Amino acid sequence: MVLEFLDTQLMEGITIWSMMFTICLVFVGVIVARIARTIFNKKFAPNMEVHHVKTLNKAIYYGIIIIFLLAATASQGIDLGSMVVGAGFLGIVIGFAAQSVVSNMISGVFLLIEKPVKQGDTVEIVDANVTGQLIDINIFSSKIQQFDGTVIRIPNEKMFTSNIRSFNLSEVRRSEVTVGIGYGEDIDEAIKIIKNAIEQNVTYSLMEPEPDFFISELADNSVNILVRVWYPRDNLLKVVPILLKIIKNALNDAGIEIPFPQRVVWNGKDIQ
Amino acid sequence: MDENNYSKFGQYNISEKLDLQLPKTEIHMTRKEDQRLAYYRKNSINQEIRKSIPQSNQNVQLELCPILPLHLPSKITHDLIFLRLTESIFVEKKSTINFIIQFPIEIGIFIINSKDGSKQLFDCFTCEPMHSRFALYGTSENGKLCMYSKVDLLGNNDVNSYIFAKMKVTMINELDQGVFVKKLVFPITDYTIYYDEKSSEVHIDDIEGVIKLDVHKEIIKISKVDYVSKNKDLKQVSYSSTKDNKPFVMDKGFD
Repeated sequence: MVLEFLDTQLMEGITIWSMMFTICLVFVGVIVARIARTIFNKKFAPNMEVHHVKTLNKAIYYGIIIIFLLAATASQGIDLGSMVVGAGFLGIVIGFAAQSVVSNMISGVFLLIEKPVKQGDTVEIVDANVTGQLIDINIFSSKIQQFDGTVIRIPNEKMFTSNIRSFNLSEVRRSEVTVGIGYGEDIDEAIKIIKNAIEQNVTYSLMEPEPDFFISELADNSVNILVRVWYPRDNLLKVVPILLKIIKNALNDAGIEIPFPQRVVWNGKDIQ
Repeated sequence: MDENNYSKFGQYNISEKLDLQLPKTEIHMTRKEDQRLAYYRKNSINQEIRKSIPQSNQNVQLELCPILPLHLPSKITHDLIFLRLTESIFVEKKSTINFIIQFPIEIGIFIINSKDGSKQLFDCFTCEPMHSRFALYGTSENGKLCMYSKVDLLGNNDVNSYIFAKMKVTMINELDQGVFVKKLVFPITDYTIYYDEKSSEVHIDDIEGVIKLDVHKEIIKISKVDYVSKNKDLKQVSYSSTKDNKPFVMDKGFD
């Protein structure tokens, strides 16, 4: 009775028994894949770079499961090719529906092969207007953690076709701030004071290349000095937030005026 | 304070209290009622650092010694140091010159394990904050981040041994023209620091630079040369157990 039930044909050449056997073998495959991944993580991963570890982790895990799936279907005489062809019209419908899914999957593979960016890099996906640390590239999407802590999921297709700005290809970065001084002040003296203050107080500002100074504008109320500072690429928060404070304090201490917009209102009666 | 009055490099035993005085820096270690050793350091800009060694029932031994300038403000470089010479050195064609320069140091406090005598870095600091700076050797596209220090040439005058070690530089110019050398860049992890407990004098391994042409570009090939001294009592501070004597090539300019 049980054997008869197990021999029941679901489709041509596929019995309940062969289906159950395939599922069991795939389940075994998942267990083997997890064990292989654990061994890999313990034995080899500590000596490898993080992004390589994550990519190989996925390749090992899904590779073993696919091998077990193919072995199971082959041993039971299930022809996956004929099943796909047999699906006919349904397959076409699913194909159209899954177009973006497949596109994302292939883009993910290309991202892993081309490696325009690595996991852990700080990147800006220009088209998506997202900046942050790339924390994972999955089969269908990538995850970017923004500086406010939130994580954004970007489909791999969008990531692959977008302009990507990487902050990790160079060891240093440059930021700039603008400071206005009064028209009556000595520009060279002000620049000397700012430069000295940066060298003394902004520990992460590079001594070479040293900070650059340009007069960016003769503005309505002030002569604007553009200050450009180089620093190690991962130390933005050690430089930019304190830069203006240090410059302002130094100019104040030296008695150099930092003007602000003022409007003098003349009363017509007073003029007469 | 006179340099002679500063605490000497070397080993100290702490039972109840220890006070160390260094340029712009003071250190106090005190045993508290709960037997922990409280550590307090204050530097020139009034920054205070507090640490403790809990449940320390026995005497603690520590070593105060000069260490390589790699740790401050944080260890993010490729162990390269960028020494900007305050004056250019002219090396005549086909000639060899020797000179001694200042080499920046940090100061480390190591706790010595009472069982096996091994040393663990407990704290490190610098008596000259301007040494804890960075520079880029090369362009922003392919340059290397280095620790940075401006250094003087030394004549017969002594250096402040809590801020600088002495380093002998040999420059060999193989070119058919004289060149100016205004900076030296090289990896320092493999260098050993030597110090004298009595005089607190500090030396570091020497370097030898060969100026030559490499594919129409002037380069300096820098190699480490072990420091040799008649003083047999010098203590050594070394980082890596396996020494790599592969020369470093300064191929991104030296002016």
